[in-house]
Amino acid sequence: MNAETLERIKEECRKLPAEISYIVGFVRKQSEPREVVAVLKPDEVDKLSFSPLSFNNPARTVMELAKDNKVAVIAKGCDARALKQLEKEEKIERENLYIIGISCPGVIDYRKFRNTVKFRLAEIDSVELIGDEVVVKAGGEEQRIPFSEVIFENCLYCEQPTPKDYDVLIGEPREGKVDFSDIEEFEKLSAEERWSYWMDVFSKCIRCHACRQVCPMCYCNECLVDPSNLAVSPMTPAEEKAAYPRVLGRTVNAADNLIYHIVRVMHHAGRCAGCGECERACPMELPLRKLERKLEKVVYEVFNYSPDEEIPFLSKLDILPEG
Amino acid sequence: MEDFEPKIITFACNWCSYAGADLAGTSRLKYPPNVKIIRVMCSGMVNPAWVLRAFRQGADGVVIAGCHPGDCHYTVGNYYAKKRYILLKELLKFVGFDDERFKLLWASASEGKLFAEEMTAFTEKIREMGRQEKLRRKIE
Amino acid sequence: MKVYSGNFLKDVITRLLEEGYRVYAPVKEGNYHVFRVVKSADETDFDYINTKKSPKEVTFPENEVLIKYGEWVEELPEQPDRLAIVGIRPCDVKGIRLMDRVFLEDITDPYYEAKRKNLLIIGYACNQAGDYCFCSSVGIKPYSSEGVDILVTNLNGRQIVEVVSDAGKELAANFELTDASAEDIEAKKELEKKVMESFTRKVDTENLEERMKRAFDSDYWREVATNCISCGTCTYLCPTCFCFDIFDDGELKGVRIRAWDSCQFPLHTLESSSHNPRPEKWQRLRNRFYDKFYYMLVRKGELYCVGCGRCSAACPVGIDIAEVIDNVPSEVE
Repeated sequence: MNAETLERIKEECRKLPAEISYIVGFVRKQSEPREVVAVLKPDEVDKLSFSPLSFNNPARTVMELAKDNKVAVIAKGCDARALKQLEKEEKIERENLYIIGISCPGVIDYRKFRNTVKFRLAEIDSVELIGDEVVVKAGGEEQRIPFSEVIFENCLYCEQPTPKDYDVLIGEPREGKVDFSDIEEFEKLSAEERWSYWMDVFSKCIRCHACRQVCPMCYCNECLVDPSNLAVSPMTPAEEKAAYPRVLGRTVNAADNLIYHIVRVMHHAGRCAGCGECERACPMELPLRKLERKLEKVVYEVFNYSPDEEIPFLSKLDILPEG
Repeated sequence: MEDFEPKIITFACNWCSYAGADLAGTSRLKYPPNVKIIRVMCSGMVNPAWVLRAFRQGADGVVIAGCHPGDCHYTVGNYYAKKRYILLKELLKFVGFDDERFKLLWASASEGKLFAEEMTAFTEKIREMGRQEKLRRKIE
Repeated sequence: MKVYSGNFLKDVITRLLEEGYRVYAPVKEGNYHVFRVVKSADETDFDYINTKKSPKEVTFPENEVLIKYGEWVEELPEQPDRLAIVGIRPCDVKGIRLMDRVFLEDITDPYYEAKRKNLLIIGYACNQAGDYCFCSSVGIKPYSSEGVDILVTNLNGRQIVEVVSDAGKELAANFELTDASAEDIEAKKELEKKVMESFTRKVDTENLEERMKRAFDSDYWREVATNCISCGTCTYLCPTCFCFDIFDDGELKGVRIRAWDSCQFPLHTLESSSHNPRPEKWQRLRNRFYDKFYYMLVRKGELYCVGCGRCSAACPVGIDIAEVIDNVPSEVE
C-alpha cells in the first residue's frame, strides 16, 4: 500500500478493456489524507489515489452503477468478497465487472490514526505503508508509526486479504485465517457480564442507521426496523396498513437498540463479507463487528458453512445439525 | 413473586402444531392458559423480529412450533425455521439474554399429548425463571 | 474580566450540584467526549476540542415523552426546573441560540421552552481549532461570549472568567474572583489571535446566498452525493438539525414520543399518497446543505451551520460540509 501500488493501479486502469465506462476507485479528499470512493471516467485515471486510508468498501457504489454499465473496480479482499456475495444474490452481473484486486495487508483505523498522528490533518501530504510502518509525510517532516498501533482491529481477523475472484491482481497473494479467539474470549464471561456489556454499548447507540445504510449486504428498499415500514401506495387499503406489524419504533434505549442490532445482524448470516464498514461508520464507535463475528462463528461451527460457497446460506438445507 | 403468571407466546404452524394444539383441546388434555397461540401458516414464516417483538411487548417465553423435519406442508419451511432459531438463540445467548426463554418445538397434528406436556413443562420452567425484564418495553 | 485561581469549571459544577441543578458536562467515554448528566465534578473531563454529539440533547432530547396515555391522557412529563450546561463551546452555544429561533419564535414549543428558560450556560472558549472546525468561516468566534452566562477561558492553566448575564453574576458571586491584570488581558488577546490562526479549514461564504440560489439545479449535487448512504449521522450529530417525528409507543397504554428524524431518510418526506418529493439521495443531501446555507438564511437571516465539523468528522463516506459548500459552483449553465 505505497506509491508503487498506486502506480500499478494506474497502469492497470490505463489498459482497461474499451467497453469499460467507469472506474470505481479511491480519490483523496481535499482537506484530509483519507481517500473516498469515487466514480471516474476512464480518462480520469490520474485522479486516482490509494493508501492504507482507502478503507471504504466500494461495493455499494458499484451495485448502483453496474446495473447498466461496465465498471472497473479497485477492490481489496473484503470488497471483492462483498461483490461476490452481491453477484450470488443477483444484484450485480459478473460480466459487468472488471475487478482490479488488491492484496491487502489491512487498513488503518482512521480514529486511531487521528489520535496518533502529530500533524494537523490538513498538513499531511502522504500516508504510506512501508514494511511494518506507516510513514506519514507532512511539509518535509516525517512520522513513522508502527502499523500494529493504528491497524483497523477487524483486519487482524481477516479471512480474505486477497480477492478470490479478480481480473488482475496487484501484490503478492496473502493467506487469510479463520480466527474467532476474541469471540471465544468474550463468551467466557458470565451471562450477566455480557448483558451489562451490551447494555452499556447500546445505550450509546443513537440509531442513525449508518451501520445498516453503509453495509453492502443491507440493500433492501424497506427495512423491517424502519420507523414506519408501511408499504404505502394509493392502492394500499387502510386495513392492510393497520395490519403491518411494526417491529420497532424510534424509541432509543439500550434494549430497543439491541433488538434493532440483532435484527440487522440476523440478516447477515452467511452473507457478511467482513469488511467492517458497520463499525467504521458508527459515529458512536460501537463494537458492532462483535455481533457479526459471533454470527459468523455460529455459521462456521454449527452449520459448517463458509460465505464463499456458491449456494446461499439459507437455501442450503443439508447443513442443519441433528435434532 | 407468588402470583407471577408467565405470558407465553407460541407461534404455531397451521398444518401441524396448531392442529396438534387443537387435538389437545378436543382430547380434553389440559395445558396452562398462559400459552397464547398465534397461528402462522408455517414455522418458516416466523420472523426473528417477531420473537424479539414478543419479548419487547412483555412475553416471558416464546415458542416456535412447527412440523417435524420432513413433514412440512411447504416441504422445507421448518428447515428455515430451525436455521433462524439456532442463529437467534445463539445471538441471544451471546448478548446475555436468558436464551432458555426461547424454544423450538416439533409437534405434529396427532401429537396433542406431546404439545400439552411440552407447554406445561415450558410454562413451569418460565414460572421458575420469573418475569422477563431484559427486553421488556421501557416506558419512562 | 476576572481570574480564578482554582479550576473554575469543576468548582462551578460542584456548586451547581449542591444547589440542586441538573448539570450536563463533558465526560470522556472511550475515545471521545459527550455531554452527560453528571453526579460529581470528578466525572468530567475538559480536555477536549469538541464533543462527539452536540449538546442539543439538553433541550431537545433524542426521545422526549410528550404525554403518557391510558384511556385518556394520564399525565404530562415533569420538566426539570434547573438545568445547567458546563463547558460548552461557543459554536454549540450558537447552535442553541439558533435552535431557540426555531422552537421559540412564532410558535412556542412548550417542551423546549420549559427546559430552555431554566438553562444556565457556562461556556468554555477554545484554545485550538480542531481538524474539522471552521466556525470562523461562518461568523462565529471560538472565544465568543455571546449567549452564555459565564465564559471561561483557559490561559496557560489559569482560568479567566467573564461574567456576562445576571444569572451568571449571581452564580459568580459565590466564588473568589480577582480582577484580571493588564498582562492577562494582553495574553488573552494574544491567545485569541492564535486560535483564529489555528483554523486549517476555511469556507468561502462570500455571496453564498446568490451562489446557492443559482446552483440549485446543478449536477454538482448529484456528484456530491455519489457516496452518500442516506444515514442519519450528520443530522443526528448536528447542533442545529431540529427535524422530529412523533409517534405512539404502546396500544392501550403507552407514551407519545417525540424523536429525532432526519431529512436523509427516504421515509422522512414520504407522503401517504405515496408521493415522495425527495425520492433520490442526492435530493435529500442537497436539501441538508440548502437548509443550512440557504433556506434558513432567507427565512431567518442566519446561516444554520455553526462550523463545528461534527458531520464531516463522522460521515462514514467522507462527505465534508466545508468542502461541499466551498466548491458550490458559481457559474451554472
